[in-house]
Amino acid sequence: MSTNSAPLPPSSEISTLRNSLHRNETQRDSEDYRLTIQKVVASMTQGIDVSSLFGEMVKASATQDVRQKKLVYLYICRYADENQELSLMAINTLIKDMNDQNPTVRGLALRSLCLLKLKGLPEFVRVPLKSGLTDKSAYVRRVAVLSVAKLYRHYPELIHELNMASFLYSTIKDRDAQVVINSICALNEILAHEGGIIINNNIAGYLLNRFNEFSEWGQAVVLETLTKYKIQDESELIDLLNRMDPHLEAQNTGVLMAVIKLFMAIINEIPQLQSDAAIRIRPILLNIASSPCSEICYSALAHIEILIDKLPSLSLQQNHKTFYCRYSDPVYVKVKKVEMLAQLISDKNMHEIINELSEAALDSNIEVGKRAVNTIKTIALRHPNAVELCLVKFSELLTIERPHIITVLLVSSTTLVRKFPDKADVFVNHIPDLLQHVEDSVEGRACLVWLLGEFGTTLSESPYILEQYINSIADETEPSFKLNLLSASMKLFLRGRAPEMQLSLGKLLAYYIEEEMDMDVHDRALLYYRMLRENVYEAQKIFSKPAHSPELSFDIPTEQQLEFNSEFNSLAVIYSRPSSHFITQTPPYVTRPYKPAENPLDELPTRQLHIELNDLPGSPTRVIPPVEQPPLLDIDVSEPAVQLAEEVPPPSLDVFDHLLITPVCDEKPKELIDLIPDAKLSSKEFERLWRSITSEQVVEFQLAVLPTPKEWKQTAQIFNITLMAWSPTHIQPMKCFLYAQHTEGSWLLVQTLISADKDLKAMIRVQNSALSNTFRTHFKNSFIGSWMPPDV
Amino acid sequence: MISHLFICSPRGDVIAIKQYRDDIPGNIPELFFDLIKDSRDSIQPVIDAGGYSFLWMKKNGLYFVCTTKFNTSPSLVFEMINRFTVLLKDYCGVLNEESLRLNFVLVYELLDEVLDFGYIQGTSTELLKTYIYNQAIEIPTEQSIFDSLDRVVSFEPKKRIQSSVASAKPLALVGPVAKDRKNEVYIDLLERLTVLIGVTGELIRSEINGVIQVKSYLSGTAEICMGLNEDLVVGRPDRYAPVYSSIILDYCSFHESVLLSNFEDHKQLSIQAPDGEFIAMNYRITADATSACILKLYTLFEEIDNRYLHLTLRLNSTLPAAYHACNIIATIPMPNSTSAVSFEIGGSMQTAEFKTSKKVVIWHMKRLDSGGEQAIKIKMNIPEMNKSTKKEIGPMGVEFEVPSYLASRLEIRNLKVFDPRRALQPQRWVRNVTHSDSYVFRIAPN
Repeated sequence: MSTNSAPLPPSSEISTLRNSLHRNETQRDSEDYRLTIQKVVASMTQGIDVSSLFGEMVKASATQDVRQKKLVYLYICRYADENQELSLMAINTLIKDMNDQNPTVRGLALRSLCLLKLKGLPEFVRVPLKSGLTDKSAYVRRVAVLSVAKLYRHYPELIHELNMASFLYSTIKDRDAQVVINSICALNEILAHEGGIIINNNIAGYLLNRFNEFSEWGQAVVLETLTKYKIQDESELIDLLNRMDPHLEAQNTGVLMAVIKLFMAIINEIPQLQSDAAIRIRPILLNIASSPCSEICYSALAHIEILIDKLPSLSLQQNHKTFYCRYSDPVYVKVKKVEMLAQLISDKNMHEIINELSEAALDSNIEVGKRAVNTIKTIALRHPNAVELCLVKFSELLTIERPHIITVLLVSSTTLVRKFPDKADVFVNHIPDLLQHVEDSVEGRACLVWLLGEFGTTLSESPYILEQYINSIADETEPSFKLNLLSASMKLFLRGRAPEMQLSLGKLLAYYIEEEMDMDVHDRALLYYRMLRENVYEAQKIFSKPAHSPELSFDIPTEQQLEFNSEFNSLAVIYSRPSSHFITQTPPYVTRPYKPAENPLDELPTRQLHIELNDLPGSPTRVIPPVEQPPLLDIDVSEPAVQLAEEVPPPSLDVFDHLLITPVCDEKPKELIDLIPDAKLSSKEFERLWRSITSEQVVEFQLAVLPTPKEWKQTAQIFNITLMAWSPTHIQPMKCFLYAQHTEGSWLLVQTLISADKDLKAMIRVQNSALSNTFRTHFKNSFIGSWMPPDV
Repeated sequence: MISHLFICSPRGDVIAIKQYRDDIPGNIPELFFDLIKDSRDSIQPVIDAGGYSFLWMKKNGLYFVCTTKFNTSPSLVFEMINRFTVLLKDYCGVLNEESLRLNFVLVYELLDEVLDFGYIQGTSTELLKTYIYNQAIEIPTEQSIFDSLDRVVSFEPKKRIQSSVASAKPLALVGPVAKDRKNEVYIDLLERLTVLIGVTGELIRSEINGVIQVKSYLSGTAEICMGLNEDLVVGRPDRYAPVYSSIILDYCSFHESVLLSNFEDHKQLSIQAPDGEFIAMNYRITADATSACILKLYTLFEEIDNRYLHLTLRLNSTLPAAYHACNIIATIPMPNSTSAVSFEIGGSMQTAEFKTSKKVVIWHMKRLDSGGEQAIKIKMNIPEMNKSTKKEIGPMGVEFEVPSYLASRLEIRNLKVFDPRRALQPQRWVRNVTHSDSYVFRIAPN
């Protein structure tokens, strides 16, 4: 068996092993022989290539020693696909072993056999598989049932030909509990395109009857399966609840979560059970939340976070202390707990929770500190009666020397002050003390400057602080800070601090008009300059209006709506994204639950894959095997409100500045085309329409600035165009879908691609082709002024 | 459905890896280490790696990692990893790199049986015996005493509770050794305390989490009968309703081998003990768990010359007579601007040091007897003191252990083993330990 062609680094070692194998071969079952084989496998697991010993190793499998056999099988499975010819030899050995006396050997042989990746395997495997499925040993049957799923992956036609699906439905009745479980798993794989195993009341009843026989892992599988079952009548329901009840005492959190998921599915059908279920579930959740295993705790917390919303009668508010950070919690648990506290607020515990959060803000870990501050802000935005307390806490925290949270404190405070301007005084008085802490933080400085402009008129130091910054304008690089400095100086100047500001404002305007490279800053400076030159009193009128508006609504991040019934107790909860966002596996590996079709037509195999955009972001995508055309809407569903927690409207996007700029730049656009203001079109409809219209116009132009979806949505709205969906901004090119409706009723659809180089390509399809040209111009106009210079 | 399960050393060397579904290509352990190496502190235990996910945990310094391409239940995967580590410990004796490397054949055997095609097949030490053929190679016992009850002590560095040397032996399950295996059972009652005490000494939060952990070397047919306090009450229907009992558990759960027919009336657990280690019961007590507050702290601040801040800490024990806390480590964060710290230590058997890089004082006490007190005066040199400097001090976290004591007063009143195959009662070892999970004093004045 010479395989000396393979160049191996420790060749001497390999030949020593080979010699040793040859020497011991005569005494098949000797201890030395086994130890040599063990050495070979040890080298293999350490990443050394010992594939050249394949021949010797296959011979070694002819032994009575199960330990030795296991080692050889491990070896064969590792190298089989590299040695097709030799593998044929291995196959013979494995098939022979299928007749061994020892069931463990039979099971192992079948398992290894199905792992081989060989041409023609289906022919070899047919007989062993059949005998395995009917073996008298449960161990072999367990292996055989899962082998069906394994083989299905590469040889689906073999499995269909053997009519395995119906056979597996019969093995569900096997007397061995694990065979039952494996049958369910295998059926779910090979019937994935139909939504997995079908549960009728017979099977459901049967599984419930045997429930206690299953291992905890098996129980989890069965519970998952039962969530698919629609309960028929009340007696069945009571039976189910009674059987499940003892399992709420289980130790395995995987089982507990599966039981809770089942309960939630039932509650969905019968809402009046909610409060009873909540009482039963509450202590369990609290117990898992203090699990000694941080990872399990983390997973549980993510699930509880969802349950708090879904099951209000849980009233975990009274147990809020369980969600306080513990000294020993790792960062990810602390962060999760801190965030959850916002959901656990009630009138009674509000004070306690805010106190606790301000302690957490001083945590030695920066991330925890930041999240705590953000959570306090969220609480204040949701509960106006907490604002005062939150602001007091912020101002206390600001005096403590923790440089890493100063920025986030300032940004959060600014947000609150902007919404509740009557509470501003607390901060403005602190500003002079804070200057030294924000030296490294542009965002922090921008906030301070904004606060000074807005509220600093009564603070004696404000002009001098601004002057300091103005004296070092050449060192500043961040446009957002520059814009803030500019508007703050203007505000102070026009709001009664003119004598102190005149000189420095003049200097600032001159510098930005003459030297500034950033167009935004330059244009803004020029605009201010002209305003002052044209009519100071008019300018004063504009600037004397306070920028803050109490009606201003800051979107509070709402939990992404997961399709609760199918996605609970899964990774989707941890990622708080629907599984369609992170699962890429295609059939036959569909595990996502199947949703029955609304109408039979949906079953047609040519149907498109689709993501239901606006209406149901969380719904699992149905994956229909042959996708002939690439899906149209193959993008992530963007949730405009989702990230707002972190990105407080940055000071640069000053509301005030917007108010100021918008009327100047674009007064109400000239109406080329009559569009309905709030046209509504669902993504499904969009897709259907898009396909129904064949004529397409393509328009391409260059943008000066990349629009963010949020800004764009707002601007397009002015033009009565709706931005329906967009791909995540980090993916290039950015893909967006827009639509509008003409007053006569016909739809106008646009698909755009924006590359990183700011090239915009728009595909326009309109129902009434007469509107095509005017709409094209209208569409382009919507960019002018915001992201494009006017046409020359 | 799990695609890989692998074990890595902290350096990133793979100790054992098993690929179950062959659907994720590439050098997975390497990819995993690339992901976690930069952010060891804050990285989450579930990582989206683009198309598939890593679920991992660290136990006894080793990484246990699973990959999956499916929307699997994270709780289930973590429970499986947890259970797998217990299996390794049962079969190999100890859970560390040396032992796993020495027993790699056994480790692969287990990997092969626990999962098939990514589906969990079984993790019971008892049931797996039939399919596991290799014997454990024991590593020298000096090493094995470091085997910690890590399931209870949740955190890596805290390996302070050590199980006895004897219970760190692998289960002799096969071969000739099986005959003269020891007829023993070890029962550990372990409680973790979570206590938070405010500046004025008020109790903000207290919680006791306890487990009854059994490690059985019995034959697997034996029945262990355990009687707990008869006045034990589980659950409180109304938070404010008076319950006349010394121990009220908010919640408890049991291992599947525990029969509860006698629990309601006599608080008897009868356990069809499988071989190996398992948690027979776990429970949680919150309410007014004042019994959990076994340490008290008195603080005194003195400001001198606007440059020095002296903080005196007196830690008192309110443990009942005859019990003592040991290995007490208090960690006290100091103000950021602290330039130097010196100490005045009262009482014996204690040390203190100031970690300049982290600005924390570590105060270590060997022992604190019932009714006793340990004190320290921390003298901080703070060049730029302002009115908020004091607020930066604390909170103080205390780690400790109280041997032979259970804060909840739960006890095993009687313990019998019925083994039809043996006439003699086996050796029964019972141990009680209470330790801190998160025992925190806030000390910064308002």
